[in-house]
Amino acid sequence: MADAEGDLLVLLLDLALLRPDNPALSAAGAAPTDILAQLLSFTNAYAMLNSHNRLAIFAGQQEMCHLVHLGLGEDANSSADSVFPAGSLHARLSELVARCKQAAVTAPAADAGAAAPSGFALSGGLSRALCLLHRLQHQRGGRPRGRPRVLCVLGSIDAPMQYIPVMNAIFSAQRAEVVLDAVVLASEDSSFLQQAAHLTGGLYFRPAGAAALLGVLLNYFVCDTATRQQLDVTQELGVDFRASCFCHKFVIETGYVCSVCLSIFCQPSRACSTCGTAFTGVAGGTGGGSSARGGS
Amino acid sequence: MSRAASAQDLRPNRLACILGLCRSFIREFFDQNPLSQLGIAIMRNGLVEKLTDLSGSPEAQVAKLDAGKLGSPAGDASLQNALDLSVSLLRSLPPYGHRELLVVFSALATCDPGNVLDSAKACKANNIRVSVVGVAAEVYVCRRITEETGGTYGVALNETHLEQLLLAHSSPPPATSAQAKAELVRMGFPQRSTEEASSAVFVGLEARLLSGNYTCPRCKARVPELPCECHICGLTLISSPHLARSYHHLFPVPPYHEDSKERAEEAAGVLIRQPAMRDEVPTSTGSYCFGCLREVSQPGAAGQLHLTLRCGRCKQVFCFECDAYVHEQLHNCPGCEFGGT
Repeated sequence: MADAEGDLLVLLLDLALLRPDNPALSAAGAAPTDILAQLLSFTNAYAMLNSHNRLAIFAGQQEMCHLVHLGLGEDANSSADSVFPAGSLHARLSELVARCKQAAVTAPAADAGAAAPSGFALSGGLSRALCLLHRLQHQRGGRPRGRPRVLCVLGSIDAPMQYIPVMNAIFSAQRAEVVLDAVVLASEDSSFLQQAAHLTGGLYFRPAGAAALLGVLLNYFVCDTATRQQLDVTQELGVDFRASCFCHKFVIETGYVCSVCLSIFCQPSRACSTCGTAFTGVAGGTGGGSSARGGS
Repeated sequence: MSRAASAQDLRPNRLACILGLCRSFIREFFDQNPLSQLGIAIMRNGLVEKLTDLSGSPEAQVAKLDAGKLGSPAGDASLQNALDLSVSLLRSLPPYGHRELLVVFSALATCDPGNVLDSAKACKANNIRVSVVGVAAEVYVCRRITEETGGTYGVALNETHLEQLLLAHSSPPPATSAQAKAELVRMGFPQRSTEEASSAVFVGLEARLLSGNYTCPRCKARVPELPCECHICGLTLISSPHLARSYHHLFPVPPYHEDSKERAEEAAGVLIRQPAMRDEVPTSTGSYCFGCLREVSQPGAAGQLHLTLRCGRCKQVFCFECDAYVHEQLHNCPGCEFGGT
C-alpha cells in the first residue's frame, strides 16, 4: 500500500526561459537566474512533500529535449543528496544552457536577428514524457495517487507545424488519463496548451510576470491531482477551438472540409491541395478572386 | 436477440456478454471515428426493432444497451428485415460517407419473409458494407451476404476472440473505388461560451437551460455539445480536435525494425549530429530506449532482455513496449519529432 502513495510528475522545461541571451526575457524584465531559482525551489518542494514522489525533468528547445533529472522515489537505490534534485539540476541546466549558447554562436544564423532561441519541441517532449509515463505506470507498484501529470513550463509561442503531433499526444494523454498542465511565460497564449489542459482536465496559467511563477507552481502544481480537487481552482475562461485554414492559416469560423483527407479551407476550390482529390458538385466555386473571406 | 442468444456457452449468457462487448465497442468506435454516427437495432421474434436513431453521441447509445431494459431474447432472427432497415436508414446519407452494417449474430438460421439475397443486392446497390460477427457457428447465408457487399465475416471461438473481432471493426475500413466521390463539406467551428452560471441560456431543440454551450457561427443558435448539426440552419458543427483525431490515419508512423550491427553503425553516423540527447541515463549496456529510458541490450547480443528496435527515419532506439505504445496509441515517433532525417 505504501508504494502506491507517491505522485508521478514529468516536467517539460523550455530552455528559452533560462538563456541570458533571450531578448524576450529582458524585455519582460525577468532574469534567467531568478527563474532558475524559482524552478529549483519548486522541484525541491515537490520532492520534499512525499518521499515516494517521482519526478522526471526534460529540458529542451527547438531541436532537442534532454533528460536532466530522473528521481524515482525512495525505493529506487539513490543516495541522500539525489533525493533533493536542486543541486545536480542546477549544474546540469547551467551546462545545457552554456552548450546551447555556444551552439547558437557557432552555427551560421539564417538571418541577422536569429540569435534568440525560437520555439520549443512540444510534440517531441510530450511524446517522450508519455512513453516514460506509460512505462512507469505499468511497473509493479507504479500507480500514483491521483493521475500522473505532465507540467509544461514554456517561454515560447506555438509552432503551427506541430499541430498534428501535439494533438496526437493530447489524445493519447486523454486515453491514458494523464493530466497535461501548463504555465506559459510568453507574450501570447498558447492555444495548443489551452486545448491540452481543457481536453485532459488540467490547468493552464499565463502569469502576469515571471516573479509570479513560483507562486503559481507552489499553489497548484506541487500537490497531486487527488488533492487538487479540494483546492479552489479558478480557471481562466475561453478555449479557442476554432480551426485555421490550411491555405492561409486564417482562423475561421466556417470553412470547407475535404471529405477524403479532412483538410480545412476557407474558400471552395476545384481540388483539394493536400490530397489532390478533384471535387464533384462544387456549386459555383471560383476558388480565389472573390472578396476576402478569411477573417477573425 | 433470438432465443439462441440466451444460450450459456458464453458467461453468464450470450446476450449479457454481447451487450457488454457492444458497449466497449461503441466507446472505441467514437474514439476512433469522432465524426461518425451510429444506430442500434435488435432482431427478435422474426422482426427488427430500431433501438436508437443514428447519432453522434456515445453515451445515449450505451445507456440503451442495458439488459434489464431490453427484455429477454425470444423467437428467430431475421436477416432480411435487418438489411431492409439498414437500407432505409442509410440511403439518405451523403455519398462521401461510408455506410456500414455490423451484425452480431448468435442464431444458426435466418427466418425471412422473402429472399434474403435480394436484400443483400439492395445493400450492395446502396454501397452498404455488411459485416457479420458470428457467435455460434458459420452460417452460409451470412458468408454469401458479406462476400457480396464486401464486408468481413468472423466467427468467435471464445469471449476474448469475440472481443477482438468486434473491436477490429472500430477502425475505418479501406475505401473502395466505388466510394471515391469526394466533396467539400461546409462546416462550422463554434466558440465555447463561458462556464459561469450567470450566463446560462436556453440551448438546443429541447430548450434546456445550460451555461456551457456553443454558438453556431451562421445563425447564432446555441447547441449543447459537439459534433452536431445546428437545429436551426442545418450547418454541421465540429471542433478542430475532432478533425485532428482522424489525422493519424492519414500520417501513420513508419514501422520500427529490429536492430542489427549494420543498422547501429549507420545510425551512429546520423545521430552524431544530435549530441544533446545522448547518455541521459546511466546504463550497463550503453544504450537505452529513447521513449521510456529503459535499458536495452546491444544489437546482436545473446540473451536479449528486451528486444531492441530502431526507427528507420530518425535512427533512434526503442524498446518493444514503446513500439507497441507508439504505433497503437500515440501515433507520433518521439525521435522523428526532433527533426530527424
